[in-house]
Amino acid sequence: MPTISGVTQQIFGRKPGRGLLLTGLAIILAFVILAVFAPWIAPYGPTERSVPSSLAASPQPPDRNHIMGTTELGYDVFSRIVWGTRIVLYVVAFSAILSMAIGVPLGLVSGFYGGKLDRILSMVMDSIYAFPGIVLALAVASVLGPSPTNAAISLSVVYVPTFFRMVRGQVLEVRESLYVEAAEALGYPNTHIMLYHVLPNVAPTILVVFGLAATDAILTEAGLAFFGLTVSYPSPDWGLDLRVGLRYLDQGAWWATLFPGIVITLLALGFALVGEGLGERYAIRTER
Amino acid sequence: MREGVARVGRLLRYIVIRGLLIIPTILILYTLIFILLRVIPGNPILSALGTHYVPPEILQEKMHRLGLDKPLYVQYFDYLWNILHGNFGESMVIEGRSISKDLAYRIPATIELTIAGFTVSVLLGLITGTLAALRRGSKIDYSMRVYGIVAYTLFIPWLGSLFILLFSVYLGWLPAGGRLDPSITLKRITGIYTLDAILTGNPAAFFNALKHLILPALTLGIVLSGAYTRLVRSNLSDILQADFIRAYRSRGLPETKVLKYALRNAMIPIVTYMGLQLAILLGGAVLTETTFSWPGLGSYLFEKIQYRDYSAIQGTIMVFAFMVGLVSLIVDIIYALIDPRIRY
Amino acid sequence: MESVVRLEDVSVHYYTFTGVVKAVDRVTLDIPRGEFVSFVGESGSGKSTLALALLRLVPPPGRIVSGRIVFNGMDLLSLPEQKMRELRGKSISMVFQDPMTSLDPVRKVGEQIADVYIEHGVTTDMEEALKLAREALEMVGIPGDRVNYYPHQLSGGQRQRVLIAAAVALKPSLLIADEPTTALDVIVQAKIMDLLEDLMKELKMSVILITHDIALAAERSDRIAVMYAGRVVEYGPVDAIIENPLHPYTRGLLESAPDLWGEKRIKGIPGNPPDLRNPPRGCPFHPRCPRRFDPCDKDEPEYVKVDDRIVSCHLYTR
Repeated sequence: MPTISGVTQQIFGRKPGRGLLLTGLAIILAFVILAVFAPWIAPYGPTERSVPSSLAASPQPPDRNHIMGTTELGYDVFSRIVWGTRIVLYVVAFSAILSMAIGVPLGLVSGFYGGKLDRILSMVMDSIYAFPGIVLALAVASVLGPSPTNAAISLSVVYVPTFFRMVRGQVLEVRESLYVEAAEALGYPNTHIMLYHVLPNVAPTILVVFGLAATDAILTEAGLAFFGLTVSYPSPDWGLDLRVGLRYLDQGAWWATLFPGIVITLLALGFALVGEGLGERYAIRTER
Repeated sequence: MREGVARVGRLLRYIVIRGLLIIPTILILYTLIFILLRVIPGNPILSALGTHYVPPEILQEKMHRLGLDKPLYVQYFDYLWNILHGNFGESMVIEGRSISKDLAYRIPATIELTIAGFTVSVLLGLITGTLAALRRGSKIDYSMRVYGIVAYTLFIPWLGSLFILLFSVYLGWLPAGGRLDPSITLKRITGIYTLDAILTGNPAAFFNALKHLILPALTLGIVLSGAYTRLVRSNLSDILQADFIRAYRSRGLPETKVLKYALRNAMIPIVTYMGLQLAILLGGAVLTETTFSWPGLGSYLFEKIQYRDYSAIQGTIMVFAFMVGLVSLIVDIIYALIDPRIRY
Repeated sequence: MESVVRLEDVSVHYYTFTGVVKAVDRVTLDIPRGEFVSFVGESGSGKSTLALALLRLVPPPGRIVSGRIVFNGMDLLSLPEQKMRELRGKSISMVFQDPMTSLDPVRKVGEQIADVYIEHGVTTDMEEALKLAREALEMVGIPGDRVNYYPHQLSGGQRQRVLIAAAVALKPSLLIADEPTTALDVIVQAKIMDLLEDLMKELKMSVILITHDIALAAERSDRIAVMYAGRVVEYGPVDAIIENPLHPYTRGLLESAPDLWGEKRIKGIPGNPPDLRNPPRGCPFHPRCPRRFDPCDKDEPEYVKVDDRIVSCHLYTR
């Protein structure tokens, strides 16, 4: 039974990968705080015209009232980033959990029982896995229509195979091990063996894959937003803001693309560091 | 000599078998996309036209024209039959517009960009990964590790926008988008402009096309290189500790030769990885093209998604599926050629 | 007596995170030309590190920190790297423990032997070098057409022969064999040792054998050097050492070897080798020594010459 001190020991204990893990968690935590306290942190509303209308025709560079400048419609870039965090975290968390909730049990069962079902599932998952994730997500999202929830579902289609493949591979390995054989010899039912003997052994792998899939999911979510498939402008989303900002790049309005891009990469980096740190700690090598 | 012939024969057999294996992959993707695009609730034409009402006889005519009034299973096989013959149907939005023609025009642009981006990523990955492996545990190693992680997390349109800002807007050295200046004329042969310029002996067009290619290729290449950095670093440093490397040194081979043979060994898992990386490469190309207005499949997809032209979207995705299948086949063949331990 | 190589006060240290490991500690001895000398010791006694030091191939974080290694009148430790490289594989060669991993898996074995001819300037033509490689293979009892084989197509014994062929291709004056038979099965082991002995006579080489197996060393060598905790504790002609071991550790090793005296009971040596980051004061063997007395845990014994042997033990210091 994991205790709270056991869990903190797991994360904060002096073990390999601690620095990476803590840095990653700190970055993620910072964004969670931005999302939760957005109304208090953001000086303006996401679609509030925050400059006098005489200036509102073109993007304005950063100044004292707008630390990251304004957009062509007079929106405050910083405030939009803060509000946008909510959408990004919602889509990414939803999709990562959904794909884990589908991919892990499927991988467990498929790897444990083998047979025809396993062959077919593996083939389908491998085919999806080999396909460019963002293209697939774009196709699904374009059919479902632009909305954060639809974007999350589209991302899940892409990341279910990631979890499935990793878990299935691990199960095949664990299944060969002595203690699973011993549990079988003792006559435990299959579900018991899967839940109490196989699952705990693949748990670290699932965590590492979660970190990597979330990293990817943030970048893919930004891609969907860039294509206008998460929210409709002028609702705030980092990827979408970046695309809108591209139009004003030749006027030298660097702030409209620079800041949304920084937060995308920073959040992705946060999850990548967590995945990397966990991978180092449990000595797990991954394909990506 | 006879052994050589037998070897070629075995290799051909291996290629055919591997080639057959990509068929199920493409069929699965085809089926998935078909289900997704055709079985969705609502009428795709209405949503493509962005309206709720079209006079019934016009709708009926349009459905018939696109073959959407037939039973689903007939549509499934019809479309499969058609795309196998290179016929991707007609646009839902622009009447009479052949999707095959659009795609044929744009495929070479994507190929040119992905090959250039791939080359940049492998070169960067090899250089950074080798530097790290040779100085394991040093400051260089540490910075290359950070590079490996950060490069992977860069958002392509963002990195692209930084490049545009620096090299186009401020310095004015390189164009911010497109493939060729309008003032330049180039006879289209393959559609890969740098190649066409060489084939027609047109240096002005070649350098102009190259100038347009640099920023997109760098953007795509840098983001993809991170994974290679890590892979080269870990593989090469394992190999450099191998017994046979020590044995090479004990026979007086110079370090340059030792490194050459170590890299040759390290390349084997890296080639395998190139196949897996392909999906990320093509996905990255979609975002790169959109950022740099590069008229390839990715920016085509972007346009068609804005118009909800589902038949064009479906066609584009099938082209991506074929490309993935084809290149993974090529990777398998290269793999068999460089690793003598593979039996075929 | 002319020596092929002379070690003077050679020390090799590994600089690890947890401290400095004195893997080889002030070793001094002469290897006579044309003899078969075995270095015997447990794992961690420094014998393999010493072998690598002779080729100046000690891997980081290890470093040769002091001493001289005199080979053909040159001090190897003060040669420029380029000169040292020219000696490796030409004048001093090495055969390694694991033939399964000591050949490059993606190059033909012939090419790997041919390297030696090309890098040491015998020929610049690959065809010519491959022809010589063919001859080298035949010399170690492998059909010449195997030059076109990849390592995975050969057995472990054959691979070790390939490695030996590459090592003796240029008729070196010194061949170092680091546990060459440990990874092979018993019948192949004897054949490989016979091959080494034959080549030694044919090519007039000196051979250094690194082994943990004192019975093997006794059977094949002219001289034995016994190593313990980075030190050579006893060195001398094989018969004298077998019949009358001077150092208590040598005696212990002989008594724990099963093959020599079938009727005797096998005795082990109680205790474990010391932690080389923090070796005991005085004689490194004293905590395990059955004959330790007053000075053993205080002063380190000097080398003493007893007849034609040298030994490092307080029993003989006065």
